[in-house]
Amino acid sequence: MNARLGGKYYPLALAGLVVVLFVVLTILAPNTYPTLRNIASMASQMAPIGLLAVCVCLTFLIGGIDLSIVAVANAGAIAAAMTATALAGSLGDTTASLVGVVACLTVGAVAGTINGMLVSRLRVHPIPITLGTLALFTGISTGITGGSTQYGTGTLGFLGRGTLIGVPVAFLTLVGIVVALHYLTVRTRFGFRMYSVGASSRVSRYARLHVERVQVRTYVLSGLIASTAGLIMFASTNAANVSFGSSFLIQAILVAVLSGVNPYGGRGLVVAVLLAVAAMQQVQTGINLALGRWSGANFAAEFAWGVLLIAVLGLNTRAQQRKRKTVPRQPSPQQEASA
Amino acid sequence: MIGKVMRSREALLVLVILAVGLLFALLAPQFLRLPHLFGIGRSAVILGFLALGMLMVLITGGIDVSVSATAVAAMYIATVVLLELQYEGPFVVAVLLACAVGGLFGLVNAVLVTQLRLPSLIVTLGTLTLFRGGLLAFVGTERIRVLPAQMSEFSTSQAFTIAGGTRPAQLHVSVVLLVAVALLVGWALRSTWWGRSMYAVGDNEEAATRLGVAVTRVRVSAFVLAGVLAGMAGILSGALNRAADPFTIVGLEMDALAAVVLGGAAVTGGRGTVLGTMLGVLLITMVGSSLVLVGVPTAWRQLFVGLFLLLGVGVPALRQRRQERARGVVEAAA
Amino acid sequence: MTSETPDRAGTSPTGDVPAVPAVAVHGITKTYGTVHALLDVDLRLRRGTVHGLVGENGSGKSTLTKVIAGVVSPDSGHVEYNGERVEHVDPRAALRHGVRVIYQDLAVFPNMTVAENLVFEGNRPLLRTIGGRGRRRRAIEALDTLGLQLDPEARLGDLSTAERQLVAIARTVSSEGRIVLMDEPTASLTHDEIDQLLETVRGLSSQGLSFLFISHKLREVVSVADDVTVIRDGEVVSSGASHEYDQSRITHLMTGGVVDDVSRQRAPEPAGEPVLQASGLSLSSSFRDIDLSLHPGRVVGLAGLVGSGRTEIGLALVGLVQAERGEIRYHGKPVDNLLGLSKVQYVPDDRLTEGLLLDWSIADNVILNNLDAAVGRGGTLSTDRAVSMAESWRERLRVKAPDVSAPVFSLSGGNQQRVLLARALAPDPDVIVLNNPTVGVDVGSRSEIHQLVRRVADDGTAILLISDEPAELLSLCDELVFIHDGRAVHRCSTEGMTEDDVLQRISNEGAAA
Repeated sequence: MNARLGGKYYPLALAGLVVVLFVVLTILAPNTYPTLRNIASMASQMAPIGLLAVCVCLTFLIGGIDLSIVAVANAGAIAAAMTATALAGSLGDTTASLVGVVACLTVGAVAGTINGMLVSRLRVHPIPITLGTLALFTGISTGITGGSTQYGTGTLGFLGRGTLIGVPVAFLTLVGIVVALHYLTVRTRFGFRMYSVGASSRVSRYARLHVERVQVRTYVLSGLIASTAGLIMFASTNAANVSFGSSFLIQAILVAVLSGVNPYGGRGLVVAVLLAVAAMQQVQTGINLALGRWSGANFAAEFAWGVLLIAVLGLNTRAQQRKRKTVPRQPSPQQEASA
Repeated sequence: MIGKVMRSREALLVLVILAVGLLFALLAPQFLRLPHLFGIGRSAVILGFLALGMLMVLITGGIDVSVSATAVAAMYIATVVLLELQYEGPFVVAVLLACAVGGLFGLVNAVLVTQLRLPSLIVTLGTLTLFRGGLLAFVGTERIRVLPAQMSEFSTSQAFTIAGGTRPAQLHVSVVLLVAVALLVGWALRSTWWGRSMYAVGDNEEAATRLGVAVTRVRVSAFVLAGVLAGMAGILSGALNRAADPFTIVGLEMDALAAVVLGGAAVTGGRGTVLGTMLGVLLITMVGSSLVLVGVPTAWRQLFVGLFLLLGVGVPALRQRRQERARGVVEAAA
Repeated sequence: MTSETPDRAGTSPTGDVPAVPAVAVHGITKTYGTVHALLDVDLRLRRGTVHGLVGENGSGKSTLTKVIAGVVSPDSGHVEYNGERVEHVDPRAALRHGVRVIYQDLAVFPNMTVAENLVFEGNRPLLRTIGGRGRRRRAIEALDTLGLQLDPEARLGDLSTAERQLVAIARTVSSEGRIVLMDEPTASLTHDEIDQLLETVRGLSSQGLSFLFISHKLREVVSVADDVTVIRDGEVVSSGASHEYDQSRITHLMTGGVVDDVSRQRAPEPAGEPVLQASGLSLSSSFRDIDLSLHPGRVVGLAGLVGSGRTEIGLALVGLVQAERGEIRYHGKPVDNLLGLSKVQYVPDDRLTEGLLLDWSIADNVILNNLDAAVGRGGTLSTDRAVSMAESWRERLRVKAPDVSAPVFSLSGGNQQRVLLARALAPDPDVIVLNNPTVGVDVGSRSEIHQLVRRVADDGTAILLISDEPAELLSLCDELVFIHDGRAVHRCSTEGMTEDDVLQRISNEGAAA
């Protein structure tokens, strides 16, 4: 029953990695690292990347990919900022900000629908589609803002920086969304069909499942969650710009791959994102601690993300290739006839 | 025969280019002036080389989004090395050096994709950040304005000049170089066993293997050549801008992909021509560099790239889907 | 069980010169997981002859072809080409020894033109130019000899199955091969085309080429082959000169005597309302004006060549393909979204890429089309319910597996097929479309699956059966509809029909129209 949920021990190994990283960094920086303040700060920084990684995981699960997530996040943030600023005069800061939140999520839903419709109707691989919409959404955002930074009314701060009994609200949002999606993917019929489409869209289609419907809904979810990530980014700085989060895409993919979700689809657990993003955030903080004063620190971090992405993907793929036995293919004439 | 030519992607692109050109000419008469047209050629060079490399990888059924990072890294590293050596010789050595560096980066992609059997998109997304991050962290972040003499001089090497008007029209040598390389690649793809094997591998890898194609070798060659051509694009960009800027050529992989896909290549492999690619490059560059003439801020440029990419993918996909539906295909084999 | 000593003598079956064979395989064994695809197989293909290789679907013929072509490497045994032993055969080595293959799945390049497909060779030095128009001319001449008028510039992917098959044949016979392996080369060809092909094969073999000819159309094999080898469940059961064989003896050898020609108790003439009824169903280039009525308890068979449109008709009836004109009624009411009906089920013929999620457990595969029944308390999927449902199906269909958590790829072909059937039967359907339900299963499973289909029909399910096998059609169906070129050209009761009648009708293009 559990083959599609990935290796049994993988989440344990991931949890082990999180602990080991924590212990190592604590030993290296006993005064600054294991403090409540640092942990809270890391927790809230995890939220945007974690949410974007969820988008990647969901689309990976159905055998796709959504490369437009950072563009959607920025577009959502810009929509939130511009709406709030424009309406602040007439509706007051708070109400205007709430309308801004709605605008942001609407942008996410619309973007997701566009992706989903294009992928399912055109039956083109999602790589060129979502690269195209990445450029499209970025282009629209750049065109509207002229590349300048948009500022909000500052009333959403609690979403980005606030805490609830000491826990950052942004982190709670991440946990809430991941848990809800874990339930959706593992416990519902829709989730089962997501795994099925990811394992083989061809088999799912021949089994007469509504493959298109599964695809559209998944990309809409991805768009919505991406815009939520944008909202949190915007809330914590009160600023939105089309060029924010330039390294977030690669980090999100890294977290998704690290969480054990198979990039080819149909295997993995969304909930593992929480562990994977915790591991990645610690590496990020570790890099900052080690290279803090060096001007090239950011670039070195980017270099590290690239290396880690390939390394993790390579290791995971290796492990799965070893496990998977070769299956004889016995193509029938019919297959050719319909090819 | 003529009917077939007219229905081809290349003919369609020519028509679109003419129509868009006509539109620009009507809105902004200076569009048709020779200096502007030649200027389009010059701005197309970098994209042209990147797109040629992208084309080869796409034909074999892969994708390489790291070409822009390869280009800038090859350019910067080659320049730094030559400056370090206080090199003052011919520019061609700089070109060869950059191509070699680019080829090496391409080899990294090739090894990861073919030996570890990883999906090329994620690998090259990884190397995209890796190459660029590594360049900026370990090589340098400084914009170098003083280049080896012959490299700077190259920026004013014109193939020919047509005097007249307020400004003489000059066609840069690099445009001729691009055309020459494009012709060579086009010939190789059409007329050598290597070229045919590229298409075969992308079209039906299993069939290619059974017919004895050295699939890995062919794949590797595509990535390495994409790197070499990216190195070429990089060094030319440095020379044309008279500066080695490690922050340049960002995001150009998207334009390259759009150009190649517009030109008829498919990410599923086995399709695409050099002529189509060059027409795609021309269309994108023409629109990009003429928007200002008709009063559209360049900030909207990216939007057009996105639209071109989606149209390039979408229109043929719709047509194919219609054919499949008529033939009763449930889902075409991957 | 009949067993016959395979003729493994070193001399040729005709008795004269013990010449070096073009291909000899010795003791080839190949297993996938726990399943033997080939077991200790020996075969000698004499130079300048046609060697017929026959066996049921899934008996190992294609695997043996791929071993000789170097595409599949055997677990043990070795291959000799012209007496030269080659230890590790890969496609390049086989090509070097002059081996050319027409694969069952054709192995052609859909994005290339006909001419490009014909001239392509993969083992040439990469840096050489293709050069010369001679190669192209020869290739196009090969098309002509096969009686095929095709635009050499047409994109191969736009051609019909039969045309693609002919291009694959032309490519093979025009290349400089000396040893030609043909795996079901006639699957989609009409009578005239087959005659052309057989004539070409005979002509070339008299020029010294050697052919391994695989077909399940025994008449072809008997008429063209010099030698015949029969394999069953991966083992050679008989081998010798073709004059020693006739069709009935080969059939007997292929099935091991387990012939299930027990045709079922015929269902009564259709009465009352059909469950599913199609009228005037048309889809531009696939099928035209198809009328079909499926009644409870009756089995209707669709017979036709591969590519005749029979599969597409079946797909349209279950909503997987949208017809352009015509109407489908379910229990008398017109429906446009057939996909919404879980009481209509489809069993695809290619279980490995269309039917099963191979990495998944038996349980997950079985519940895929019946998720509603796996929902437990709180409206969520219940593992217990899924497992117990799958468990009961495993017992009913006698799937050989330790338990339902076993991954499907670890099962044998016959057991995989049972899982696929269980998936379709789980929602208790009232219509099932079966597409070649016994492809690639062993002889025992085959007759059990036939029993199952009969039982399901007797319980009142309406069944449409699409099959390549005349025997299967006759043994299961009450009525046959012959499809040629997208049209229903003939309908008849199976009463009193023989396999030859069926074959005749399938291959004689439109003669009955």
